[in-house]
Amino acid sequence: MKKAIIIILSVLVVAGAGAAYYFLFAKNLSNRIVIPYIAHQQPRIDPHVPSSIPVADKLDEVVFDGIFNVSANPSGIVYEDGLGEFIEIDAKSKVKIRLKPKRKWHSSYSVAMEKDKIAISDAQAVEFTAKDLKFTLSRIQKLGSISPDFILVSQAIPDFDFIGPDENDEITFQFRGDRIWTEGDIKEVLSFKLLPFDSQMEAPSYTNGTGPYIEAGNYENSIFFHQSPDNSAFVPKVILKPFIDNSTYSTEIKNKNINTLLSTPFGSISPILGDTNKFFYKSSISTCFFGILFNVNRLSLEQRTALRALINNRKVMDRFFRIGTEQQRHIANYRGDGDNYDEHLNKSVFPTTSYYIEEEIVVPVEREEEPDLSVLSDTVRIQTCLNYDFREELAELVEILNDPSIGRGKIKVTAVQNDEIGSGNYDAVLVAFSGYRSNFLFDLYNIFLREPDFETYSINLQTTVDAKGKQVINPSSFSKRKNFFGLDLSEQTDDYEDVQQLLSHIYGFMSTHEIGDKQAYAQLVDQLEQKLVLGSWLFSLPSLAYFGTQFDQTTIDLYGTASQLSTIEKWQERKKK
Amino acid sequence: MKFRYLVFSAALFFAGCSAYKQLQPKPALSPAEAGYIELKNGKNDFVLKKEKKYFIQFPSPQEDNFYLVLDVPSKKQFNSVLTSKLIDKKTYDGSITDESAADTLSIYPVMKNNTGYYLLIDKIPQEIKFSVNYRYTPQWRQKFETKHSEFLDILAKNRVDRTAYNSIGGGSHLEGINYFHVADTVKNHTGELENLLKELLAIEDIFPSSIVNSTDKAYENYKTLKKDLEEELRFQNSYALTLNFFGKEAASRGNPAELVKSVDIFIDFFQKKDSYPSTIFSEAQSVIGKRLGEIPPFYDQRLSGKEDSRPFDQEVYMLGPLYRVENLCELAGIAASPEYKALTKFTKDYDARSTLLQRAKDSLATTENLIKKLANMPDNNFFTPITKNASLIKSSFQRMPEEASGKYQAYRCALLLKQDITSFSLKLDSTVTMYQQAEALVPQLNTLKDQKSYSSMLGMLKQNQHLTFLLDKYRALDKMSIEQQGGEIENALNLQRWNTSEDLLRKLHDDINFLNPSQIIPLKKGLVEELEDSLYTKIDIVSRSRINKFLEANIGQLNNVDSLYKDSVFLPAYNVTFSSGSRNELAARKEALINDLKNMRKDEFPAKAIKLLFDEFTKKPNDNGVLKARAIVTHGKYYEGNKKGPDKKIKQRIYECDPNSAKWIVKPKDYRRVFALPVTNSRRGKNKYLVRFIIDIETEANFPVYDINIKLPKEVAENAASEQWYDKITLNKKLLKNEGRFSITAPSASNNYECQISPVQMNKGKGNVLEISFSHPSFKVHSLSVMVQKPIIKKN
Repeated sequence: MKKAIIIILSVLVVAGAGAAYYFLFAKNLSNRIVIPYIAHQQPRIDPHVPSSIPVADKLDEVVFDGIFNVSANPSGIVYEDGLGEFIEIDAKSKVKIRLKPKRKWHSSYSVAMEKDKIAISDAQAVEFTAKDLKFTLSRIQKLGSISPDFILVSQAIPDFDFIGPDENDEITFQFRGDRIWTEGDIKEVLSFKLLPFDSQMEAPSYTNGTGPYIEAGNYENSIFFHQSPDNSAFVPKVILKPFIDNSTYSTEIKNKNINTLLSTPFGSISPILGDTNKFFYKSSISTCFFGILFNVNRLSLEQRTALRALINNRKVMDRFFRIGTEQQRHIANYRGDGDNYDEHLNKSVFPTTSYYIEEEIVVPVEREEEPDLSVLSDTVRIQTCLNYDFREELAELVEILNDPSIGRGKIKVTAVQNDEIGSGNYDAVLVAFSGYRSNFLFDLYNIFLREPDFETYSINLQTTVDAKGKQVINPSSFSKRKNFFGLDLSEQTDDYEDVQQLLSHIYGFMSTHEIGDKQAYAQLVDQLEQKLVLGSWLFSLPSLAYFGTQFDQTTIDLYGTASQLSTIEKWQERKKK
Repeated sequence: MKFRYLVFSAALFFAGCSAYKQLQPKPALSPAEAGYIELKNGKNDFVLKKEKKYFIQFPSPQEDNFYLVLDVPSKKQFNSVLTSKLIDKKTYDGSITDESAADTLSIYPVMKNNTGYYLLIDKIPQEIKFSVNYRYTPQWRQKFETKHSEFLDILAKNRVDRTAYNSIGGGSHLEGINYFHVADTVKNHTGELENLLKELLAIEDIFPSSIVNSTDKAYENYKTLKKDLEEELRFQNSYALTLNFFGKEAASRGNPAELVKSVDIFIDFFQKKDSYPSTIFSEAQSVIGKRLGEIPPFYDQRLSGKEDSRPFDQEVYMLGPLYRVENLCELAGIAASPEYKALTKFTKDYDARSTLLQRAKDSLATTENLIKKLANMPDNNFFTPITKNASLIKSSFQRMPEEASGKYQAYRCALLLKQDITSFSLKLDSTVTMYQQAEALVPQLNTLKDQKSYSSMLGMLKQNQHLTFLLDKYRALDKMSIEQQGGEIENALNLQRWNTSEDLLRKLHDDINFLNPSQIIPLKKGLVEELEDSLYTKIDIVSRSRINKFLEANIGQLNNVDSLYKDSVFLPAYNVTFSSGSRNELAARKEALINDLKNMRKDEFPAKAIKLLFDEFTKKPNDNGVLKARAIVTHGKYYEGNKKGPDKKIKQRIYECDPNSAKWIVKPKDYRRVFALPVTNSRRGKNKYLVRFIIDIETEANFPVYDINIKLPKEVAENAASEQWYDKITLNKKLLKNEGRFSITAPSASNNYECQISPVQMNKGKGNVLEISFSHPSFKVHSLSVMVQKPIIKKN
């Protein structure tokens, strides 16, 4: 009896303790979207320039508006009025847009934070005007090919200018007369994000927008965004929560420390998040791939050819996803297909998931050649840095590549500090290229002109004006210490002309707004890269996002190549029954 | 105010129209001629009251030309008027003038009438006693009696002393007196007396008939005065003539010319020989007889100095007075001298001959002027009166008086006259002959003119070139001739009588029959060149017209179009053999003509055919459209265009109709309509259609890519869902397949049968040939629209 009483009391005590824990300590993420980020990789937002930090790129959609905003519904892409309203286009391709009145910049509000409590109040109203649009257009024009928006705008509005506004707040753009511009085309062109005119031309980060969320500030290294009084975002707050690396992300969402995981480790379906009552996932097209970039100063063409043949990316990918094992990392692509690993295996600098491969603009050469190991040194030294994003994945790849069955004892991959990478003392470097776009706007600068620095994203693009007044790339863009490959045009080498051509084609690819040129330069870049053997392009990481069922999954649309946060203001929490 | 003026005006009117009150004298007034009779109101004078108006009626005189004389001492104190017509005692019609200027006397001329006369009195300033004496008296008496003594005095004062006059004769003829002074004196007296005589005759005019034979004293005085006056005047006139005669004679002494000039004065003197005493006549006869001998020598001298053959100037030679010397001699009873007779015969004969010559010359000159004035060519009768007139001149000229004889025939003027007459006579003969020839020639010319045989006329005229007066009239004939010939040529050209026109042109070119060759030859040369051009132009026009007609007749020919270009219609309508220039020029011009037509064969003809067919083709593509398009293409084979090359628009039409020709697309986004035409010939079955484009759009791209949109006709595309609508689509001969990154959108009703091929990579700066071939069970023209534009890069 006593024993029974003791058991009953014990049960009651445990239940009470559980109930107390639940009510006192259980995590409550309601009214907020909580997204993780790597603590030492602060997301710096520039709405016009790509970032190497995936979440930073995605925050453009949280803070800023375009003249039109690209959004989505279950049927696909839709264009919504942002800071403007389409009026008409005439026979001479003059496009009339009415700027929306009384749209306020976030600086129109005063934000007070008390720990994680945020109070928004009115301050001096600063309204959006045509002056802001003029500034933004001039900034995009100045950024040139480094900005994807430059390509979008320059193909339609050569002078990056407009006439107006008139008394109805209407402005007129002169679009190029070489095509019939549909309303959708026009809205696409005018979907770049707007900055206020008093912004710096080259600020480290931009936070004053008109978008659905106002950046409120930091609390305990969490970055807080609050819904704008001018906008109709459903969820009041967006919080970026810091973590050491991405290895615990799955656990964090499981433990309700976060409720939105924009990319899972290894891009795979997480076995610990399999409870569909608690979580749901949505896939989108890949935005990250891994590549081993060869140092041309350490490896001859012959050696690079041998090394590329040595690194069998299929085997690496199989090991990476542990295909055929009990621990297989299952994946799902944005079309809903499962375990479609082959679609992620890259054979070119252009990822297989990209437009250029999918549409067969670039047709990579299939190689099944045996590597000539004799040309390689005893050890091919590959370095990487595990202190930043994709730590888990890179660490796994280090282990795989160091496996003699993969590297045939020739490859030695080591994790080094970022500074050492910068010194270029490697035969090759393992890099995760994140945030790439699979559409026309695939970023070759990110691969070829990115300075060898895992922490700071910097592109060494040097341009000059030629005798005809045309802007051309400067050979100094390829400088030994300014890219992972050690490519340098300051000294004559045997393959100087090819390297020079490569640089020219990269610039041609990045700066043109002509589709045909994009396609042709893509082919030429691929061909030259194949010839110069500059890297082993491994595979792409599937893009899979997990959400807690706190959210109504029907309100979250991830589509195509668009940013995952494009429709964040429409996300809604699930209504409790 | 107005009313006041009205009343005032009415008062004035009635006051002004108040009646005259009649004063009736007692005893009644008598019209009998008598002395003054008192006019009384009984025993008293009438009293005229202030501002009253009166009249007194006087009876009519018994005869005309009487005076009613009123002796009125108070005449100036009132206003009085005598009238013969008083109306209602208020107004009168006409007043009789008072001829008296005296303040107390009124003299009114009155004639016999039925009413008598009314003396009206008004404007009487105050009451006046009206004392009047009156009388009726004949006017002559009044005038004569009142001036009789004055008349006598005038006569007395103007009598001229007769002593000198009476002393003439026996060699004495007033020598030593101042003839002209005396004559003036006499003349002045005569003038005074003639005035007196006029006054007396005026009085005589108003004598009553009863006065004749009466013994009236005044009448007797009148007669005496008149007789004395007339006798004195007769003397003075004779004296004046005598003074003039002897004065002129004296003045002309040593001056025969003056003597001759005075001949009429001398004649006048002798014509009135009855007015003088015989002594004076004899003295005058003696004096003048001595002077006449001076005249012939004077004339002989003057005539010998005459240096021309013209008639005598009357002023210089005074032939009239000279000839009247003969009258003078006759009147004076003096025989004319033989010298005088010889002189006057010469002057008369010379004057007659010279005058006749001059008249003949004038007549002939008039005739010549008449011819000169004729602006046009003469009619048939123009020279008939002229010839007649010239003959008359000739015949009158033949009646010339004899030439001078004796000493006068050696006079210079006589010799000159003789020469002139001889010379003129010859000219006259010649002129008459030429006029006769002209008279005969003109009708012949006119006949030719009517026949427009201007060249023949010119031929005849050239045979009569001596008829210069006639040739002048035909100067226009040169131009008429070439114009007429030119007209004939033009007419022949218009009638397309090429042989005739060429013959006529050659004839004109060779024609040298002109009155004024130096002037007309350049004109003719210009005309020949112009007509020669016209010949070529007309042949060219006609040839072109034939070609155009040929085109119109054969525009509907859609088969065997090649045969059209082998037709002889493309050769010149006539082979020209004439050239105003060299043979080389002829050859060159013919060559030019042939080339011109050749050009038409390779330019205008096919161009026009293509244009016409294309217009029809585009208006009604389904009306034999395929055959028309093929005909256009065949015409296009022959079309080379002009010197500048083919017309782009024409070439464009050919290209549009030629399925094997690619159609240019050089602008993006514009839909270009093209015709898809069968390249096979199955009229009832399935045919293969072909459309080709050359796409070359200016672009900034180095590797341009485009979307190609093709709007298809429903009948071609309506089964696209079940069967591929096209056989083959190639770009630069490379097959475009609906696979890989190429997509060829299926046309359907939902996309308005529009097919899109995208993306199509093209070569920059080169024509990219897009070829679409399809099969369709029809033999017709299908209309397609093609648009090319570049795709854009999208972020999403």
